[in-house]
Amino acid sequence: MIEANNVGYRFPSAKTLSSGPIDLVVPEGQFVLVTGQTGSGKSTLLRLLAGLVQRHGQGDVVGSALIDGEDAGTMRATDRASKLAFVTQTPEDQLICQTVIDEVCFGLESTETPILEVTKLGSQWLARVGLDVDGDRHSSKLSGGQQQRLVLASAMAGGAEVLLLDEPLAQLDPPGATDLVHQLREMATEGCTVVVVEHRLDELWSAADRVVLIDAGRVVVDGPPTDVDLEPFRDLGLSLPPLVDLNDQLAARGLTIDDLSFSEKDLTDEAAIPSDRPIVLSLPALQHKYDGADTLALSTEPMCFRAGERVAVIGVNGSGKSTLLHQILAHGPKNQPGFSIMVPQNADLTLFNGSVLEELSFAPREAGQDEPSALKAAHAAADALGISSLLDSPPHALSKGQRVRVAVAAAMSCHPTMMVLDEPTAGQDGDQMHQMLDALALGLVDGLLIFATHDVSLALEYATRIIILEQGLVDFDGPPADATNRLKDATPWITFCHKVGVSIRHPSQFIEALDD
Amino acid sequence: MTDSRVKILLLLMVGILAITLEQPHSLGLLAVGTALSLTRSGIRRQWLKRGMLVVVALVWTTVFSQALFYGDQPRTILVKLGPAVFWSEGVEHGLVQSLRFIAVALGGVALAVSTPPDRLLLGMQRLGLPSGLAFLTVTALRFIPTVGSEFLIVRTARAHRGRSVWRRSPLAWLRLELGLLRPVLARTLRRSRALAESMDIRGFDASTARRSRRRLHWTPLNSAQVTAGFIITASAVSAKALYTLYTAGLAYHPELRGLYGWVRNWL
Repeated sequence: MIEANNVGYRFPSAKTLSSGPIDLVVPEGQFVLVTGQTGSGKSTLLRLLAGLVQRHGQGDVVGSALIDGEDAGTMRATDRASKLAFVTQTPEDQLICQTVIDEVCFGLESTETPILEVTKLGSQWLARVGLDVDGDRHSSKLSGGQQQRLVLASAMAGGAEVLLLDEPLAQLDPPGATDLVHQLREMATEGCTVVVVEHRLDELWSAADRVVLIDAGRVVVDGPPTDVDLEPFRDLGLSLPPLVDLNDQLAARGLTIDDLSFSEKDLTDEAAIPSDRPIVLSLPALQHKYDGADTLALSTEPMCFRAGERVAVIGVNGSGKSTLLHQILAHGPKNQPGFSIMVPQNADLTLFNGSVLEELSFAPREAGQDEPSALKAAHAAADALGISSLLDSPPHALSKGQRVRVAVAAAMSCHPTMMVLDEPTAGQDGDQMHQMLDALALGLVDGLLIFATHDVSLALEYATRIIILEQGLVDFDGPPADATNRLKDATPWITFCHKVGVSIRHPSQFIEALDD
Repeated sequence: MTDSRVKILLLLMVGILAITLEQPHSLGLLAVGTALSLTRSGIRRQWLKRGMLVVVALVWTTVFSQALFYGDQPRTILVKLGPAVFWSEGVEHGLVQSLRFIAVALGGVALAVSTPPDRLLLGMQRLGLPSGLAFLTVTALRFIPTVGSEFLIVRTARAHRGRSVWRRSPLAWLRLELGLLRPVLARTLRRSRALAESMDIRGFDASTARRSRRRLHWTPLNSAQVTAGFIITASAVSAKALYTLYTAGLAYHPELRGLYGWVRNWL
């Protein structure tokens, strides 16, 4: 059981609490979903529950967080390993050892488990989380989803009864996310207490016993997912599970989903990109193999991309999405500086200036614009991405979601012909994701936008062309309407839209059409 | 697989020899020895080629700069090109300094490449290094390639958003280059925090020795290797000590004249 008694945290330079005070009791075997906007204090709450802030934070902690009646901050090291598991959204940063089996055994070696049983127990945990790889394989060679499973197995291997996860779905493809949620649900059913902080609510909503909404460090909604008031979630711009959202809005009008009857003509759809638009990039047949690998990471036929296209590259973890993006970038014209730009998965690495304003005005200045024009371009990019209030902040002091938006805004300020984004929506809440994609669609009307994402619904909603990769091969390349047939089982929302017979859109568009 | 303790001890001996030896040919021999161990470490051929280029560049630049700026006396002119004078003692001094560094560096790389981190950690702990310090060393070694690849990503991002590095003043170039370290450092700090938290939650305690399911196997061959290394190192250090006592005028034994001559020519 977890007990947070008026627990809160004040950063060293802050005068008021940045998070809390929060009272939260999570009984044994309960599965709790904690959500809120980026920077609302969710991760700090999770770290307080794990005792990490108490041991490593520089600021002040008020109240207490107890795990089975014992203070999480002062718990003995061996007790921590056997009672508590904590997993963050960046599994690659949590990998301590070189090989898979060493990783899963690391925590066990800290407990009082007989040393001769450590390997056997570690292997059992790998099997339990569905990680079917050679134990001697380098953990750095695993895909993001496999690393997430490995970190989960490693954290749980010590026999933890309390599992705390910070955005565990951020890097997972839909099947991987569904698998993980299923496992977490099973663990909770078996008596493990599970607290998950997440923006991706679609996969977790129905699995959780309880949903907690945090705003400005305080709990504003707390209850079972079937009973909670959804309005505060909408007010904060969070992405509710679309079916839950639609059901709720229909119920307010005295309707149910079965009352809906739509056809494509009832809903405005963007016209497809005409085939006579100029070709921006012609890609030859590609084959790419990584050093030391036995198989090809990518093998594609020639492709061409036209102006105005928004291309979503989707596929499971390890299917070759990032490899394709890098190859696309590498095949851009060499003699046109500023033609293309990429925001990689780790967008932090593209932020090398002292403030957000410097970051956004860097490219215009480098392009020879005078100071007022460069600043104007920077402000325009900041407005488009909703980061105007952050212009004076050092980029690396911002939250992950904010840093990604700064990186995208900095890329937009270059006015490239082709922009390539690798997982730009990871860590963003609902409104921010839509704002970013709206801004990109607007900023690249005559350019080419290519983005890789795990958010299939978002891809189908925003892209004009979908490329589905499977084991390095292009499994599908065509318009979203045709892709929906192939992806109809990817999420409940896509299944619903497919069943109703319309292309993927936001629930609010159904309601607008209904009201019209 | 050779016991990691053997490799650590041999590297320690290479370090002692690198400090003790002063002749280019003996230091060259030591460097060749560690280079051979590197070729047998399983390092990728591509990396080996790049490493050798770095070695050649390092020797060349050190020798060149020392030849040009050597200030000790006596010194003799090797070549005079206008106002630039290259000193022959400087060439030798540069060679000695670069070979010292290369011998130890190649040995260190061979150790890091050929030994999985967990075995390296266990080896250090078994040799008495404090658990926290051993872990710190192994973790730092493990993340060197990661930090290197991240730096390349930052440079690529900068290249996409700006002019060529050559098209700006040297001061602006330097400022920009230093700025590129910012994201790498921020990322490293974040990674360090995540790693520290991960270790903390999994019960790692730097103040106590860790248990390990791994076993190290010290074989008779390992004993022979360490003994041979120890005899060579101890002999070189002892001979050098006797020679130093003689040259300092503190102790002279006529029966050791052969040894003095050998040390002067070879060590």
